[in-house]
Amino acid sequence: MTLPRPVAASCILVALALGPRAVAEPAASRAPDTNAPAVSPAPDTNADAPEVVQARKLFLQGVDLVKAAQWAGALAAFEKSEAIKPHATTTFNIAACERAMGRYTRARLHLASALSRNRDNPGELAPSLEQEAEGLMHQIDGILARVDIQLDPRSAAISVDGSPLHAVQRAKGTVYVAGIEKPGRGRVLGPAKFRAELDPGAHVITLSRKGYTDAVVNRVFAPGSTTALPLVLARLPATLDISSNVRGALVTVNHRDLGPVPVTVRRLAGTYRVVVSKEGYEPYEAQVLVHAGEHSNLRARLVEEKIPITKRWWFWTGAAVVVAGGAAATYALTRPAPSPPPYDGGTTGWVVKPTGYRF
Amino acid sequence: MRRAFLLASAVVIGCGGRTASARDQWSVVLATDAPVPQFGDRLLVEILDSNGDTACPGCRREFGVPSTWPASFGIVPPPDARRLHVRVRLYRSAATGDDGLPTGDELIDARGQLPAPHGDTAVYLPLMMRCFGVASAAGTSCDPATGEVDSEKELSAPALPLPEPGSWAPAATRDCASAVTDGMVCIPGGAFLLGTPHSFLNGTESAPTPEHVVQLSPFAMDVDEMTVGDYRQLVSSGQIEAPQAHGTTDTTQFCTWLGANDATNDAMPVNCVTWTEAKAACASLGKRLPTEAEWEFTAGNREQETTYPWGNDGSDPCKETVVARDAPNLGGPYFCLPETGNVVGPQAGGVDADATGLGVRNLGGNLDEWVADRFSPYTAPCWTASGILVNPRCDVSTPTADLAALDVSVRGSSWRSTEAPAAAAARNAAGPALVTPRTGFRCAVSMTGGNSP
Repeated sequence: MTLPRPVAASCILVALALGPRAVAEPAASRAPDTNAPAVSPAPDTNADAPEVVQARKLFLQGVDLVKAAQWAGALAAFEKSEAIKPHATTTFNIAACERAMGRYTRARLHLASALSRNRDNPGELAPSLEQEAEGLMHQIDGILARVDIQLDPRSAAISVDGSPLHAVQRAKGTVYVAGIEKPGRGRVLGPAKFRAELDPGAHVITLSRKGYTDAVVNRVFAPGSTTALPLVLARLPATLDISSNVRGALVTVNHRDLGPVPVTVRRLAGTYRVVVSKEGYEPYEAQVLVHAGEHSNLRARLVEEKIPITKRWWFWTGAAVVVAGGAAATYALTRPAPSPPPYDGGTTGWVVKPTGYRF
Repeated sequence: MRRAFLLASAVVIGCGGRTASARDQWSVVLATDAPVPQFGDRLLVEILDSNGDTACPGCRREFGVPSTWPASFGIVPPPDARRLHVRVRLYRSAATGDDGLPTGDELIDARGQLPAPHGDTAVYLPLMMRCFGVASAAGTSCDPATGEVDSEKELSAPALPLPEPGSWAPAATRDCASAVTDGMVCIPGGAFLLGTPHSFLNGTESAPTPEHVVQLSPFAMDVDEMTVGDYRQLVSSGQIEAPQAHGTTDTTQFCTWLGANDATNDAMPVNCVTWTEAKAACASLGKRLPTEAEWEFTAGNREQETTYPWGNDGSDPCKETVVARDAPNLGGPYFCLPETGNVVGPQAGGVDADATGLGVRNLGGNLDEWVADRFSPYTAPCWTASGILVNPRCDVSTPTADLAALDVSVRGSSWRSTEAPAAAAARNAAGPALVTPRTGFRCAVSMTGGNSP
């Protein structure tokens, strides 16, 4: 699709308003486009007030700059003029300059603003100019790129070209427009699905949310196109390193057997119950809170179990000597079969015993 | 302790000299040819019943990758003589889901049925790279001899010699057979996983998922992005045309090319050149643009597969690379400006920290870079041939509705973007005629290579 040629004349020919004195100057500004609408500005009852004089001066500066096709300069002059004395015609001129510079979303916003102001202040826009404003809005609607964005998570902050999106209420609902807001951090919009409007061309869409990886999308959108753009941020996991002072101690995290220390696991941010245990030691238990992207170290210090006298080695050894002496004679007569060797856990030391399980 | 008692008793009792015979058990032996931890840093071992369910509450355990191979563990036969199955997955902790269990197919998944036990019955379950990425279901398993899914087999005793980790032939390091030219560095050939299991752009065409096993021959890569001085020399000698773009507008004011006779920016990386111009410049030097796979292999430090060219830490990108240095009124990110003296735009020489272990500089940022491939999502036919992709280069763009005009791949981040595209695996697309101060290039050249000792 070919973009329409910027309409310089519209900007020039509306250089008429801002009070009775401005009315005397339209002829000089009309030459480039005889098809452009004429303007009949409403008389200003305070035409000689200093601020009006200044606004008019800036306005005419803008007109001169337009004649030289210096759109950025003209825009600045019209904006200053409007800041001093708002007027629907000035707003229209701003829109025309923005449009000439290819900033269609801004142009559309200013056209809508000019029409709105004209409704509140009837006569600020001549009927022909009002009609042109509506026609330009329709034309811009055919140029803008529409992007149906689906965000996951919906709480991600989004920016386009380094600026947050600007919410605009339309008849069919809220539309988020790029290129309006000043540069700044992305903003959380709320809905998970929404439509964004962008100028056609290349854009950088940035997403961020704490606990998730940032995302940057470079895309070119064609004029008048509608694009579906799902944007799903990946969660940042947390890393948990678990070690112990006792070699071979077994680790479970939320009751899942993770084998002997040291253990490194990646999990989502949250709280986990960690148990490190080994026979002969008091189990180490902890609730561990890990944040997204965090690398957390947990060293489980195991303490030997307190052994009652019946569990002291010398007690049983002594007892064994006494008992064994008595048992020896009996044993010599009965000679029971020796105990089988222990099961072999191999290099991992793990012996699985699928016993006692019922279907 | 009772053990002492038992021990003392055993000493006495054992005087009889009789020896107990071994009880029935299985000793499961695991061996792999996979480079570890590159292709797997964890093991998930499960003992399953014939329904594919875990046979007991303690029948599943995760291990860190063993430090010694072969690894082994024991299984005691159940009293009810059920037939049991063993399933072992060698996977990467980076490729796990929210629950910490492995996700996707980019792992080795081995299964086998346990035979009837007779004494200490040793059985062997191989974890072979031939089966990497081959998904199987209950009752089936990847045959390590063919790499194809077949019916699950009964496990048998290990046959020596067992494979050793890293013995998978495609992963062998292949050095450049000859010296590389000045300004280039040899990137020895090897194998790696193109892409990343967790994309920062899941669900979009430019997401670097799913991963693909890639084998590369040795090649040489330019240490630096091509400079204006280099480019000017080629233009002056009539080998190539001067680039068309000049820095006059909002979007081109950071173009570094100032004209064939202007040496002001000679040390700056050249930008605002089209893909075609970049290819021509490399060709005039007897080189070519690097492929996506070569670029990523280099940026990820080969088999180390680091997140960024400088390592895995992306917490301080403003110091690590040239990113987020746009002018505040131009629409790109500029959060690094306060930390870097408010210097806007690309930088001559970039940042020292943005270098790979082999010394290739500024792959992360400064300018993003044209590569040789046409852009296709990793789900497109270019990337989905069965088996290993050997020296892949995608010459066919697979346009989608969203990327119709963006049919050339671009790698790396730039002064006009954030650190996210600086990740080695991140990829982007652009139109081949795009002229932007964000994008430059470097060249590569194929090398012949011998095998490592």
